[in-house]
Amino acid sequence: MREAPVYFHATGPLVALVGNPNCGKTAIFNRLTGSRQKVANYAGVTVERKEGRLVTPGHKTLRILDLPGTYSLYPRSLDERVTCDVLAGRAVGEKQPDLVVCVVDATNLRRSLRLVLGVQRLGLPCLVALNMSDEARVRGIHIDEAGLANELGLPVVSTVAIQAGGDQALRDLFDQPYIWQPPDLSLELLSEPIGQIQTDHERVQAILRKLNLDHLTPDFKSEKLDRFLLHPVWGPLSLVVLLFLIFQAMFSWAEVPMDLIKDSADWLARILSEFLPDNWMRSLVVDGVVKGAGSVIVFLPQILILFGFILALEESGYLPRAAYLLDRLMGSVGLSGRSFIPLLSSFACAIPGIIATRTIPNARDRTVTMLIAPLMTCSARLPVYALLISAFIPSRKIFGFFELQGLVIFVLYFAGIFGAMGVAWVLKRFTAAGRQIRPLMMELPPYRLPLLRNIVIGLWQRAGLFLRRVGGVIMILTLALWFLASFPGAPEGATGLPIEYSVAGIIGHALAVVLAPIGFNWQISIALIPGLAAREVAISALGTVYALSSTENVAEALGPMISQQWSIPTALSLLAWYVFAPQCLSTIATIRRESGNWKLPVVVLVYLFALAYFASFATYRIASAFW
Amino acid sequence: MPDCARQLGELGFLPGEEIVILRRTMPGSDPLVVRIGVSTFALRKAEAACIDLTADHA
Repeated sequence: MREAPVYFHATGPLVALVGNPNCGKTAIFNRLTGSRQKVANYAGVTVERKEGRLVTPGHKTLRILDLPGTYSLYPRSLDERVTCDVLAGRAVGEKQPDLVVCVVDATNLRRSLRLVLGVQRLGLPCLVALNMSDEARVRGIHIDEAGLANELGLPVVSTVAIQAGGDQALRDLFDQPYIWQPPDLSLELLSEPIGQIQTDHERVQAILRKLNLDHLTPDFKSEKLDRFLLHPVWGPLSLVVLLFLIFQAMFSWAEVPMDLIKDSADWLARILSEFLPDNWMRSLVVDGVVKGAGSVIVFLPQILILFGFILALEESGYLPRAAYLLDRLMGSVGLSGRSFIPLLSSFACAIPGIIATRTIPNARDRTVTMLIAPLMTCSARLPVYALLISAFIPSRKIFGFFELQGLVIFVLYFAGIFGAMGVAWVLKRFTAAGRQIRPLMMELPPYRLPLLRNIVIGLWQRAGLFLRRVGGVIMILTLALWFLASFPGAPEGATGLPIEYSVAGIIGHALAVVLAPIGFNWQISIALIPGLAAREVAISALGTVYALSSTENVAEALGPMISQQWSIPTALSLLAWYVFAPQCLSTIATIRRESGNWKLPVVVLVYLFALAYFASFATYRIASAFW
Repeated sequence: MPDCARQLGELGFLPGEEIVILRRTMPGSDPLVVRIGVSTFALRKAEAACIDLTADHA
């Protein structure tokens, strides 16, 4: 039986917001709808769909749709295609809007009006919101609203999205019946698109001349800042300093909330184990659900801090400049500067990083970025690194200056980055699509002060998205892995540990044969299986394999134990393994969701395991020659 | 790049507009920072090559 999609449309007229990127469209959307927003995906594509509700002063309930920003109605990226499809009424499961609000950057009419003309030609009821009208006034651009409305044949209203009440005129206009009337299309329709741009361009120029707006007033403040921030020397240097500060903040600020989450999960687990009878149900709830969810949610503070910075940088206009500064570096391995943001996010966690690849217009670049994102050192690796380093790397200074343990962490970070660059380079060198030159064409918008309100709304949405992933896929995986590690139970009179008799134990013993050449014993091999849920779960799994009681601090008790039982080459080999191995099925599941098929996640799984095996093998053999 | 000229047009690189090359941060001037109208764009050299310019020293 085939499932037929059924779509429910909430009642109320649908108003779509359309505009160029960086015109303040999302700020207007936030202003109009506040926190009453629903974030989801458009049917069949991984483009974020934001809808909100607005009650007008005349008590009319409207649904407001924030369409992805676009320069024209000829799409370049997935995002832009959605905008075009929705406006044309072609999008699956979407209603054609009842009214289109063209949000226009009042400081850049020259470009924005061309999009307005394109939208107007679609024949939908349409109005123009002159946003950033305050900034235009400051820069000496005086726009005659009535004159512009007359020239365009559309209602025009001024808005200031960054000011409370700056959307009032727009809200009031929604109550006017005439704006909901379809326009009378007397314009000639041209089918030849290139000619269309040209005639639209000429019409815009004519309108601007007529309204005496035909002079250019560039943003000299941004120009001045760029003189420093895009300077050949100071530019890259300030980027490095900025990234360093962000990482510093990510680790130091997140410490308290992370401990809090960890402690509450432990507390909940303790309380539950006291109240529940000692059987497999208790183990399922305590070890599977509570500890499983806790081990992933614990990264939420870091993700939020990192995203807070990314959103602030995005709002301020710096992010595209960072991408510009990194374009040459990324270009040398066949990517563009646009891959920078997803890769940066992956240092907190690959899952939001992979979700962030949606902003990359080129399909090939997006795929490669998803392919290498898991190689960035996510924070789930850090507990594993910390355990192994404190147990095996002596705490001493070399050259009286560098802390050896810190140096090892640094090397591990760079091993991941160089691994990723290497993979991207190979893909550039040996695939046909990799050798093509791809466009960058990235706007560097004027600098603006980021608005706290927009950052908070953005963070709220990202947190929701991440937790929904945790709630679904990650939960199922954690439970499946708990099941593997718990069943079947140990037979009567067994001498070994229960986990050795479970499915995971049996697989682990078999794996040990395969992993022996890279120096892993059977204990490590078994721990790697529950450790597929999330990287740091391997620590508690090792605790289980070494029969540590779960009440004591596993990481602290484990250190001395493994430093006696493992050789140094084994420890180094395990470190190398954790740089590359896809010990996180949630990441794989996210790649499946975002790429829309199974091919990419399977490729990622296979190539990362292969890379990890190779790296560990080399590490083990080389280290064995010394120790 | 067949689509290049068309895409540049969509962004506002159209006949009669004034272009200013603002910055050559990167060695070899790739990518370039240019201003068209009042918008600033980063363009790779290959893209910028699609644009015909006449010098204006005014």
